[in-house]
Amino acid sequence: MSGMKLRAEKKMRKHLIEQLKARKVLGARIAQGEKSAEDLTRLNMPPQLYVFHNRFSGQVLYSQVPGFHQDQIDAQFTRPNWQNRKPNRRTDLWKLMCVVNFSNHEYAVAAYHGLKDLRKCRDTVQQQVAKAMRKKDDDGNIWSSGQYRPTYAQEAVADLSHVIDEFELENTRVMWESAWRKGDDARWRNDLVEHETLPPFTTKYQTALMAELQEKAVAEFAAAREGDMAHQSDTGAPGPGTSSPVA
Amino acid sequence: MSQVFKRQLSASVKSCARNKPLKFSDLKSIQLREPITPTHRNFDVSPDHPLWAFFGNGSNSEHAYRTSDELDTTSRAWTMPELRRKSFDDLHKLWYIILKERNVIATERRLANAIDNVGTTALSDLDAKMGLSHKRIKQVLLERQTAYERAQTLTSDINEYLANFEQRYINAAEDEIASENDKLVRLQYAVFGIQPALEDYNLESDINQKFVEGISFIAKVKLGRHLAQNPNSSVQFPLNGVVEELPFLIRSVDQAVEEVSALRESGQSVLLDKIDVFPFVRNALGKVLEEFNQQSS
Repeated sequence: MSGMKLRAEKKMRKHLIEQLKARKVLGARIAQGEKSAEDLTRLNMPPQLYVFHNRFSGQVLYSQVPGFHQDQIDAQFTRPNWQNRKPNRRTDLWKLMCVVNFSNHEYAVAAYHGLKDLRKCRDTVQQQVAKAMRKKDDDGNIWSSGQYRPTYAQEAVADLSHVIDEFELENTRVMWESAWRKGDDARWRNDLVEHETLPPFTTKYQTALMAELQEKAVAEFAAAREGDMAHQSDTGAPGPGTSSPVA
Repeated sequence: MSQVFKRQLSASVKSCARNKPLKFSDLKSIQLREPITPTHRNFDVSPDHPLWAFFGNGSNSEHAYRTSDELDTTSRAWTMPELRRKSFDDLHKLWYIILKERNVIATERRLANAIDNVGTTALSDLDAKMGLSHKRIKQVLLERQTAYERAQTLTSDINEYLANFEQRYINAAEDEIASENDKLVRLQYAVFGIQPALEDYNLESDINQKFVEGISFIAKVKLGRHLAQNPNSSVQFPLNGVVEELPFLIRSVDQAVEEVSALRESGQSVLLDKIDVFPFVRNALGKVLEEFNQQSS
């Protein structure tokens, strides 16, 4: 009779299992949910965009914060197929491809949403146009070496330059994991973007690198704001590039 | 908090001033851009970079693999007689030079197949030649090891063999003496464990009873030949122990004869007690090695 369980016991067991499932963390908590400019300010996040590159499949993931979550993967790979599978969350597979520093939080949020729109465009709205621009193998499929398809990273770089040009996000700084990925200089507007290279790193110490980048960017951003405010109070006029002060 | 407030104010001021919207209006009308392909022109690679060693032409390589007209198709493998003349160090170096080149060729074959699906016969031929050289190097080393091991087992026949060799050496003609000298070098290593090159001596472990026997055999053979040619030489048999025999190992015969006669005249030639023999040999060879090292540096 030891195997018999009371109804209450069964209910409690079920309840506990549900609790455990609900408590499971699918990625960095900070990356869960979309962040507005106010949210980023409240969280002491600088106006940055983190671009991760999957080393197994070549796919790219955008994040507003130094980390990523399963929700982002679900949101950014909406229509998976055999050539564009929904990638795994494993942290060792996602290597930082570049970190983009913007001049304010509005720009960072706009760039994030712009990139997501372009991804949606390539995956669903203008699927055929995007397919026509990809390098193909002899069978007419996306060129691949094993499961690795380099085209996704190249599209992400093109989209990044597209977003910066389209919204005219001035004073943008892109820090590349490798200058190689930047591609031809002619594809970037020099008046809007500066390029830099990150120090060499591995995925094992990526979180430490990102924490440091975030810290530095926060300090830089604060200093820039201080400068702006000082300029405004000195001249009694709004800072450069502004038309009317907001009360 | 004031910091936060300032930021919000400043940021919203900026975004108010914009006339470009921060959003795509219609996804259908977006002009998607061509993917940006990475390019190596964005950075320089040092010509000293060690990974260049994986390419056929080093840092001058233009392509991932060499074609048949860039390859040395007229070469041949090393032959056994050529390799037999090489020292262990030379063979060791040669082995690794060939190994490195074979590695490069294996990479090139793989790339040529994978990238362009071109024929790799020239690369395969070259690799076969180098593979043959590798096999021959192993064969030569095997021969040497076998000879050494067989010499260790020749305990009963060895004296007869040494006597025969002594006769042959003393009676050798002028044109044969070079090859007889080579034989003597091999024999002294095989039978007495005396290394051919001075710098290879390990003074702690090599100096033993066999070594001392070897010194006296070499002195006997060399002085024997010298006396057969110059019966009225200043030095005659018998030699007075290892003090007079050692010069014949480390000097040429004429120098050794002069040295021995000088020793005899100065009265420094003494017969050592058994217990003093090893320390004397170690000491003397150590001095010679030091001189040799100073000269070479």
